[in-house]
Amino acid sequence: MRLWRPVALTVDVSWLQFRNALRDLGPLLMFFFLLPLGILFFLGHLAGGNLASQRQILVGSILLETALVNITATAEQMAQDKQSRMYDLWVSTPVSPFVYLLSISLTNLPLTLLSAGTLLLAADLFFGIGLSLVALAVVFLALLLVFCSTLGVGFLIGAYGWSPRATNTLANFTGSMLGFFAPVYYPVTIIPLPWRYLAYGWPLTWGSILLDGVISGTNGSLLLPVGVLVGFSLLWILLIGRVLRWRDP
Amino acid sequence: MSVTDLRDLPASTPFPSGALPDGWSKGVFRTEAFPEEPVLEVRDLCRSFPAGGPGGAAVLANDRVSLTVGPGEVVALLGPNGAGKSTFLRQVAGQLCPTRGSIRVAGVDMVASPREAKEALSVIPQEGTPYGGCTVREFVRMFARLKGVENTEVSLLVSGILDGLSLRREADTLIRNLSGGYKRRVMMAAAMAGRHPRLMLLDEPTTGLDPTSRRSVWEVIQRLRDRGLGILLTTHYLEEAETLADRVVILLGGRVLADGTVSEVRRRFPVGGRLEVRGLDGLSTVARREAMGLVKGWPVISRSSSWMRLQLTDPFAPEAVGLARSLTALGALATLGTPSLEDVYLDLVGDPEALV
Repeated sequence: MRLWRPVALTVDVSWLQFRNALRDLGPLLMFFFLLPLGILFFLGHLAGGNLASQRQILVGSILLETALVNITATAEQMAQDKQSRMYDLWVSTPVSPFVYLLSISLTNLPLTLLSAGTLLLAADLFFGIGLSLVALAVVFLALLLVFCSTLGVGFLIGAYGWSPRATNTLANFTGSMLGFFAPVYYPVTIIPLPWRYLAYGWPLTWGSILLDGVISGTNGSLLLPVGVLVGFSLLWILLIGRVLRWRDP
Repeated sequence: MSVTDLRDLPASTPFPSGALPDGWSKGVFRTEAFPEEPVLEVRDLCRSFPAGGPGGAAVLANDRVSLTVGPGEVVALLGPNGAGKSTFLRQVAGQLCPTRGSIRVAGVDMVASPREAKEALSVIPQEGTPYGGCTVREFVRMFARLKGVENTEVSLLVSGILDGLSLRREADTLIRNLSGGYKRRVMMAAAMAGRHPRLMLLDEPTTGLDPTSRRSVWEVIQRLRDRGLGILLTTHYLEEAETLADRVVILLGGRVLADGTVSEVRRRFPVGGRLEVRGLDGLSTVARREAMGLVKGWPVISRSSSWMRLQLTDPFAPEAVGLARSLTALGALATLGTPSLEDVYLDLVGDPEALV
């Protein structure tokens, strides 16, 4: 009962915020659908008829969307809350700061998953990358894992950003850099060796390996990326637990 | 048993009983549900911050500050910028750990049990802006849930609060479409949407508002006070403190300089009286020169080309009355008066050493 209550509260608050977010539908449609679909079609066209490349571009588009939303939206919402002093109102409530952080992140999750579904549908229709229902379910589970494994990045930027402008800039820079330049649109194996080790330190690389494995059906090698992503998720939870405090010492 | 009604609108639909938290019944908040203990008790609160540079001394932002707020009492915390008001409020709100001292909100230790203490606490941040994309009802509902109100109770409670703060007509309006004064009211509604609201902290509640909106926020504060809520507010508007506060506490350099009702503070720190002379710009050159000669030697508090304000030891002394009469005879408008809270405040803050 004690554990269930904050979960129910988080879901309830996220749902309310999600409904409010839908009132700004124009920018949301651009961010969640037009941008990733545009990238998918543009790069997919450049890849010609190479199915492996198109599959990797699909993986990249889904991951970029997930990472960008998780990092930038969380950081920007925190910055906005601090500027509008809503953060102080949150602090005055008897809830755990985890509820605050999770409700911000979860607010964007439904549209992130819907965006991923749209990308998968488009890839099926235009590039012939079809998925069974089971594979589709596994893709969404993998996406949730990627979502959890990048949870803390936006939070850290939001928590330590010294001004809203700095937070927004840093969040966009980090999201874009790590989305575009991490090996999500291309396999990690094409990166020269010293850099490859660096790439393995970033959760999206493992997310890319996991998603590519699920979509291509090579399920045998997926245990390692799943393990690493779970590890990243636990690491963030531990770090957030240590850093996230309503009360300054 | 007296009952305080949170709703002002007589046409409100009666709420079914048995579905609301303790203290609430049929849209009515019963302050008697709680003992008459202070809603805020702060004892010897100290807060220091590390020195900014190498070799510098630590900054003591609050130095042995003690104060209490009772149920149905409004206490105004006054002081210039840097006096330690915000640091004090942040500690009471559970945003900052005290270095020393104790804070009890509705009898609960804020340092040891912040979660329980916050259940009785409502905080309205300075110039806070609620989420514009929400309707008023959604926003208040969200904070009611965050403050522990069950799903089964929340609709009734929110309706009661919106009625009580005269926000019923705006309940389904998007917050971004409301004026600044209404947004401030929405923040207040959200802040008090808890199970047991006992203490409200307001940090400069009317800063940035036009006079009409300011009056409407004052009205809400008075209404909440009448309903048994203890209120601690900070303000730079002394007129606001004089209008709203049952007690004023003046902070300077992190220490309490004065604590009492407005009249007590006035009596405790006699700053004499004042003589206001207006209409100097309408006098002839001769009359003006004569007026200046009359006031020569009297201490001037402030002046412009058309008016001046003089400091008096006793506003009813024959010399003061004679001066006022002479100036009036020359054609100026001279008014003798006792000191306002502003005079006392400026006197205190202007020369704090004299009071130690």
